[in-house]
Amino acid sequence: MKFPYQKVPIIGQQSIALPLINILLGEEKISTVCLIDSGATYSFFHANLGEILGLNIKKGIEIVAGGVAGAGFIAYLHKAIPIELSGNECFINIAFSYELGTPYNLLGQYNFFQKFRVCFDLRKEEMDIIPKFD
Amino acid sequence: MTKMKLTPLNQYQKAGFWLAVVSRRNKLFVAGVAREANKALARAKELGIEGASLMKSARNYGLWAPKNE
Repeated sequence: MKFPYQKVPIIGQQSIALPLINILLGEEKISTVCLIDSGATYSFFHANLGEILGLNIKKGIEIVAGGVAGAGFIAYLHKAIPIELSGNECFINIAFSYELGTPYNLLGQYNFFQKFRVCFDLRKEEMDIIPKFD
Repeated sequence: MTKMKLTPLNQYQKAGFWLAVVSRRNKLFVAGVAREANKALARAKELGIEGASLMKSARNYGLWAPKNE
């Protein structure tokens, strides 16, 4: 499945293309924008989205995540959250955080990348995402 | 269906809001804004936009750097 990068504004009138996709989250199928972040260990989502799913966020496994700036933030890992990407449904582990500093949710290595093979092509500003499950 | 003008994302460079966004020609446009996620989606629906996706507003959508830089 090929997905185009999405252009977003940076400073002034400039823009940058990022590997952003929409996924449907939970049984409620809440559509939300995610950055495919191969450098993220886990998938990090804004806690408010987990609350909409009815999760008790702080019942998850508490983890302290560090960013490129080194400052840590607390997230709560929940296992087997259903997601759907272009009709492909699976379950991934998601760390929900009230402190996530990015506008997008992040899809990271454990375990989004265990469920999907992702090939980035910045030059073409597109990515190929292939499910690795039946 | 109501014809609605979508707002470019660069007009929402302030943190603290939920945005209901849609993609047009590989650019994100805002269809609904609210402090709560569900309300942002509801506002997009009121304007006839189905299938909007949620994200947070931010000062900068492409770069993340320490605050003091």
